[in-house]
Amino acid sequence: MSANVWRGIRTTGVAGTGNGAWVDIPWVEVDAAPFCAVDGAGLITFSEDGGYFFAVTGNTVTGSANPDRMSMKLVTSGGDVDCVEGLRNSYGWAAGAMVTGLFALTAGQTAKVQMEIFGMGSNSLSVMNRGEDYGCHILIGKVRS
Amino acid sequence: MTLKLGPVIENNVTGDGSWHKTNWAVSEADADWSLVSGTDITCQRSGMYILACGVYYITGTTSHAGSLVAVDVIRDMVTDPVIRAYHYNAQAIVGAANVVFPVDLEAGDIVNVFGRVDAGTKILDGTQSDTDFSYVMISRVK
Repeated sequence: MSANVWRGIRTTGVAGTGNGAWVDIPWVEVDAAPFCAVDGAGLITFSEDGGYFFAVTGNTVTGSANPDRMSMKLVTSGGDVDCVEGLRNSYGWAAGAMVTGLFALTAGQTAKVQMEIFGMGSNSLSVMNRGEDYGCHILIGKVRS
Repeated sequence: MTLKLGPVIENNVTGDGSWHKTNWAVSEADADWSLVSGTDITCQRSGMYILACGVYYITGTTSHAGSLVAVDVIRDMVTDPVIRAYHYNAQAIVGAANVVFPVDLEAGDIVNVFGRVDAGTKILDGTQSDTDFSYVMISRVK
């Protein structure tokens, strides 16, 4: 168990609608940490007050060579602190996005990561047919107690 | 307390679609880190660190079918990346991938930054312009 960093990963199993609707990313826990826990829907619950650094990467495949856009955002249960980044491909099969954020959270607060995909192709977030893992990664570091 | 590495020494890294350790030149260093053989960054002091890595790439053509660059930071195992980011462009001459993230490390751990670009592309080393180069910055937080 890591004392300062929690890590999750998602390699497959999340599908974007392609119409810009936000969907939750259900994380699979890789490295457990004492300050948070994640449920099957991807909701991260914090058990300790502190300052936290979030780093999230997401990668999507569109399945077509049409214009597409991918965005990710981080939402805490406070509701007033979001962090969004989007990436657009004008003519491509895949896109990636990364969001980072620094938050002061109290025990009992939750956070989740969402993504949206907008485009003309058949949009999904999965292992690509290129034989590489194009999934998502999340790292949460506790930077202050 | 920051270690700053860069730019990438190797140009032409390497455009065959496979993973390659990024070869760094030290521009700043401190007691938390050492750099061995240009690629292996060795942690000298246990703690939590923030790593910031950026890689620029160039396809060389606007008609390239697709180009990709990835930053893969690992701790001793190629099969267990800490974090991975892809940026994929088609019909673009240049692109970039950047990751910033926290990581727990023990003294003696080795961190490598891996880059991967598709055939026909290469990672920039500053030969195109003063701003086209890759870098990594590492700072211990606690």
